[in-house]
Amino acid sequence: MASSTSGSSSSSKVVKIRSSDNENFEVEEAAAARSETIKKLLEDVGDDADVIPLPNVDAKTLVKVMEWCKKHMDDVDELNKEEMKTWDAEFVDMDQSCLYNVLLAANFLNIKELLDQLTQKVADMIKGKSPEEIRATFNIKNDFTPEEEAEIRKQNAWAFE
Amino acid sequence: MEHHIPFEIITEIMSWLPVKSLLRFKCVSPQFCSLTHHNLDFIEKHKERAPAETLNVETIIHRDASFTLVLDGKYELFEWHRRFHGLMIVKDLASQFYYIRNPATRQTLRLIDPLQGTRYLIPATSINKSLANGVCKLLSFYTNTSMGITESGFQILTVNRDKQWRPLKFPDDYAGYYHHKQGETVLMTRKIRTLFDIGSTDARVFLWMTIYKDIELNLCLKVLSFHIMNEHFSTLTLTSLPQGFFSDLLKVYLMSWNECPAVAEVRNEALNVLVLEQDSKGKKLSCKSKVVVPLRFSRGDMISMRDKLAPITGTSHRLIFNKGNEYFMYDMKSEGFIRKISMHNCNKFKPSLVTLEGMISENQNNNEGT
Repeated sequence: MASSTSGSSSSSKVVKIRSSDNENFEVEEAAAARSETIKKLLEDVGDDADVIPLPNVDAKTLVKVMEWCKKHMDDVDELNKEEMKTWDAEFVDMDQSCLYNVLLAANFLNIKELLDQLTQKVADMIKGKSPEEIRATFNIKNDFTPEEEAEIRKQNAWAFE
Repeated sequence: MEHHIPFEIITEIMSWLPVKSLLRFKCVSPQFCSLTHHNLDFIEKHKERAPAETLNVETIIHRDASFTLVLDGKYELFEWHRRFHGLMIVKDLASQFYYIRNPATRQTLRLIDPLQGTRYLIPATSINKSLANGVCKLLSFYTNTSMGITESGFQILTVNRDKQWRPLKFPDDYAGYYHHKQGETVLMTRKIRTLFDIGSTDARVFLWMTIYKDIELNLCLKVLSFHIMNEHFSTLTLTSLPQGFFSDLLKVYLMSWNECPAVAEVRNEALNVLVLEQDSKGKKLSCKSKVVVPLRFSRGDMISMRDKLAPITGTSHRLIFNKGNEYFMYDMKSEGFIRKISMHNCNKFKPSLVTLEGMISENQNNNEGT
């Protein structure tokens, strides 16, 4: 796994990060620093950093997240904007389980732009669902009494059409 | 499912959803319901992210060349340019009742009937600070002509609190406003209804302006303003209007420029704007900057259009003018004089979840009305 992210650019500085399942990765610092969490950790430990442990992210998810960070490492000029949009759209098009894993990782690693892209993707997936389906998706307990729920439904009847 | 998604992430996801989905998801749980109903931060974030939608507006042009904007085939869009927090003021064509309406949530709040002949309804609200405790006031201006006598005035209403519109009492020294000191020369006086910060806590109406020379022959400007929320009148004075900036004082209008007060004149195919600034006490005005916006008139418009064209508001990309009962927009990007009547600039709106106390679903409202 480590070989997939190392060796791309010999000149730039590389940092080591470790997934929750103890796999080590070498990533260009500029890519890793897209994560505010990693960036802050790097600033705190300075150059003495050996390996930065990320106990909340497994290897499979971390590979995905770092793939995004590498792509978004440099500022995008106008010309590449469209290309980047297409790339982003393809990136978030992953199976649901993977999507939620990456979403949680992006939240933990504090990568705002990625979090926005992923939450937008989920919003797109759930916008047509019923309240029951939403409860199932997010594992939410319904605390409304049947009367309360009926009243809210009545008030917003057109939204159920 | 195996993932536990924390509510802060669910909130982020929700902020990208269309209003219709969010209304449906209100019955998911009380937490979902209060997020979309009371949480101003969420409502603001959602509005910012929501793509602009198009209102279903038709224009009906009357014989006297005035026009009515008809929304969804049943409302007169009253005051199309005074939208606040995604809300607008409409008049039901069938019942003639006035409502504050949120077109995104399809909820309305019936207003106490204003007087006949109401021409302006100007909102001011503090709901941007607190939705639940926010106050919403409306200032109305009416004119009625009967048997050759025109009567006009202002009324004010605190929505959800007042049982009827209250006539606006002008301050006792109001008449003194016209009486200038000895030695002052009045050069121009104008009734105005220029507005700033519509729908905000600081919404104000400017009622009168006058340009005069003081004893030392300085060119001065004085405006009377009314703060809708506080129901407070105040006079603002500028004691050093630059000489020569305006060529014809009779063509000078008060306008809002990027939400600042400004005075402006249309001259030589350009709008000359003097942007003003108020001191912290809200008593004195000073000149902040000068702006010149070149205007391109189409050939046919040249003479008829330029005459008595009153600028109302301006931002860095567009200007709105008024002339008689008509409104015009000048888009600085396309540089064409567009009649305001053309739909593409007033049928766009940003959907918002804002609900005022007492707002009910339109269908329920209609049932109540019949």
